[in-house]
Amino acid sequence: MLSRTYIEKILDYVISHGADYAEVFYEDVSRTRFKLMDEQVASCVCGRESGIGIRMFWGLASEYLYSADADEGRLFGLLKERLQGCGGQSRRAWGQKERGISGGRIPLAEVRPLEIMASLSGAGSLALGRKIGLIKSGIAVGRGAADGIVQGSAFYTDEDQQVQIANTEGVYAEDRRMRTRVRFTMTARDERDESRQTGFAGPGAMSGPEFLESDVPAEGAKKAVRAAKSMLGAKTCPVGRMPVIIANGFGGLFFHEACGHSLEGSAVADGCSEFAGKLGMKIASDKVTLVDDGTVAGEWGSLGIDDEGVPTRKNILIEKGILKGYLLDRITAKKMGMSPTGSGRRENYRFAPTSRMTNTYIAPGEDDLEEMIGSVDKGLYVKDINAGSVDPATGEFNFNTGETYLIERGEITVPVKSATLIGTGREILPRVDMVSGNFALEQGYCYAGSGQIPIGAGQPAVRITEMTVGGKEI
Amino acid sequence: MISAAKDPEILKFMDGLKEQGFTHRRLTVDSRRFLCLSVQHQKLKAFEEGTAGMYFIEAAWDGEYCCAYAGSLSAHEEIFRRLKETAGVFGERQLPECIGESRDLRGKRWRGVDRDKVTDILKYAERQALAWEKADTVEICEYRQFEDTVTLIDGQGNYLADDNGDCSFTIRVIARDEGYVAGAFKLGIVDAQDEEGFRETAGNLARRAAKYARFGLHADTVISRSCPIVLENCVTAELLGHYLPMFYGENLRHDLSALSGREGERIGCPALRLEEDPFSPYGTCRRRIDDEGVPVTKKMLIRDGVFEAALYNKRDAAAAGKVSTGNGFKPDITADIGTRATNVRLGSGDKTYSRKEMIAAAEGGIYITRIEGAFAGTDTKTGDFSILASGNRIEGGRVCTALNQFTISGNICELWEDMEMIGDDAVYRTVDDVCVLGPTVKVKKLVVSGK
Repeated sequence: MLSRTYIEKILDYVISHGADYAEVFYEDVSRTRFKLMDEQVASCVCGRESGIGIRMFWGLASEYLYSADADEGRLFGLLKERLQGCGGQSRRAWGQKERGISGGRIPLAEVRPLEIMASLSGAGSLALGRKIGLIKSGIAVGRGAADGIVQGSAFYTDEDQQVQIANTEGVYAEDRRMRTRVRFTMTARDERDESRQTGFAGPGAMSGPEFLESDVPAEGAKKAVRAAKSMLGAKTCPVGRMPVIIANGFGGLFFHEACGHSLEGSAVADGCSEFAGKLGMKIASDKVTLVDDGTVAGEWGSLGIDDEGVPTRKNILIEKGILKGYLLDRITAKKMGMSPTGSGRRENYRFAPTSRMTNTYIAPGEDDLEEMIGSVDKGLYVKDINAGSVDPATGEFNFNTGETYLIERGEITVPVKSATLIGTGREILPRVDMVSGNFALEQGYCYAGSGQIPIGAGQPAVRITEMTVGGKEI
Repeated sequence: MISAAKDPEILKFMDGLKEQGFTHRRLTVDSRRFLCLSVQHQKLKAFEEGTAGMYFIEAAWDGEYCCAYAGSLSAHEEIFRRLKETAGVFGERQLPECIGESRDLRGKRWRGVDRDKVTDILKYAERQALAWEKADTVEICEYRQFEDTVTLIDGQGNYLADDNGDCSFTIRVIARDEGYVAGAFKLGIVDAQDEEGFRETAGNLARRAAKYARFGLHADTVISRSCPIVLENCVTAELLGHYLPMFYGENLRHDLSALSGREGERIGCPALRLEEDPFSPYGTCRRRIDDEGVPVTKKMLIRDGVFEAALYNKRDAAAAGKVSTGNGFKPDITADIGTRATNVRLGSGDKTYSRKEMIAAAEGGIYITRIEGAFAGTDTKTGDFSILASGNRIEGGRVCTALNQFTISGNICELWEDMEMIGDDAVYRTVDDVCVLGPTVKVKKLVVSGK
């Protein structure tokens, strides 16, 4: 890790060249990743890397320099080259300083991250062979859970990241973040091998690799098998407008896309969000309370402190349908005259941080799931969502569903092949008319402006009165 | 240019590997430079610049393949420990081979950037976009460039060096009117050192993005049905890009491709050609060897509608009883070798048609100008897709009312079979680091889902 003196020297250098704000992010991260195709190791890579990112604000403009080499001579060479002529011609491009960010430098004082790690045993606490053995066992458990499983694969990753974050506003923070996850993919066939279906499950935690020694991975493999078996014989999905019930758990990705991204400062501050300027307004039904909480202990999407040195917190974004807040990093907060919300995140030092989600979920309601299903004459029951995306400016979102069933006359009847659900946040949020109490939070990744980051997505089951379903059956 | 192979730190490390008893030693040095400038509201919004480097070490320990990556070679002992830990976990795996003759295939990819001049051009492009009727905001207006250098060094000190890189301009314009919002995005290759050319390209793209955004306003919805479809060139390219993994040996081998077991079969209309051409002047990939040191080659993936060739790295080629096609590339600098295409172009081996002819032939159909969510809504295992789309209704032989909030669904092999007309107006899109060139095409029919 870097010495505090060195970090202070960097901050002083940048601020002395006229920047309003400077920030240093340093990381040293070890990772293990491997992929198993049944018993075979298809790929396996372990390693360690480090790097530094230096960010500075000039008015409301941001400049970011990064390097894998934090050597003082090389880094200051880079800074000198970049900052030469500051205040002169080369700064013409930055325009006038308006609403300056901070200026000056406050002496560093330690900010302690929240204690949210499930354990601190370290990535090396399990030997590579042991990790591979445990994942193989997970696949074997999955294969043994049902007949007709023709293929089982798993992608494993663990990461031990140590970071230092310091800035000219006096923040100095060190944090250690360990994450472990395994994603199982199991393929089942029917008795005549006329239909093959694949199921997925990806349990993960903010924990060291001892996570593998719990029951969770084997349960994940069994869950993937159950999903694959359930989808055998799936029909093509009908098209058109219909009621949709999205089950608890990773179904929460629906709200991550449908409104979460549109509430991030990176979209809102530039007026490129359908929810810009709508604080305090009713944007959803009374049933919708949306939360982004980076403080959930042991959760995959949590952080003790964000990548800008702001402690994470529980952010209420929508409360009973009223828009209560946005997710803001430092620069979008300044642009909007608000405070950062502990939402500045990045994949690694090669990315400047921006406002991102952590664990985002819909709070549980009081409706009964059986009644919800019973209330639908013809519609869809979406047990799992694969992935989706959104355009915050127009609000248009899309999701590809995983395990999905038809609801006919109040009952779940047949599985249907994956469908695409589309709509806009402003259209769909008011249509959430039932929310059950069976809350669950699951794990995944989000890909956006500052790279791939781990996130949690969760909800109880929710019913949307009507939305567009893209399938093949006219 | 100074080769990484002569770096004293690297030479010392390679000697250390040998002293430890590692054989079949190979080091891959990957270094990347990146620069990005963006403008908004006639001010520079952000500037990013950086360098990253990574070492990927492969060797044999007790005759077993082993590998590790490291950001620095200084922690020898830690790297040796990781290498020894991975030895034996792979089962049968080909050991790294000697490189033979050293070669430096690097070009000059990096451009010196005058920040003020580039900023002025970006501001000009933003003004051009905003001058268009109903154009409200320029969400993205940026210049990007990168250079990626790969050097492979063997235990004898022989090396192969290659690089890649490009410079591009991207703009996204948001148009608003009476509560309606629509966005359009355009990108193109530019050269920061050709100021006039850059200004002209950026201005053209900005005006086109603004025009498309304007045309997307007041969009109507679609009645669910099956109808003729014309896919605009950028849509063809993007959709194709998501299906290229169907041609990758690893997916064919593990039955994860809709083309598994179909080599030599007809999978598209008789005119359909799909060519991988690393040397294409229209492509953005400039690599001459892959990440395993195998020369890249030009090959026809689909010829006259028939699936002719698959793409292999060394490992999957060996498993299939074939030889590498020069497509062994790492998905990221810390990853193991995977498979990837370079520049891929879809075209016709027969007559080509103009966009006007295709639209005239698709009466009652839809002209698709944008798709979203293809990464989620495409399945390479089955070939099925279901994707959010927007475009325009085709009536009276013309493109008219804007349409949005509908999906198009089908199967990529059926779509290739149903291609009735193929244009020659290919544009590129980059999908998962592959440069995909696609023309406008007319498809017999697809299922659209809306109202």
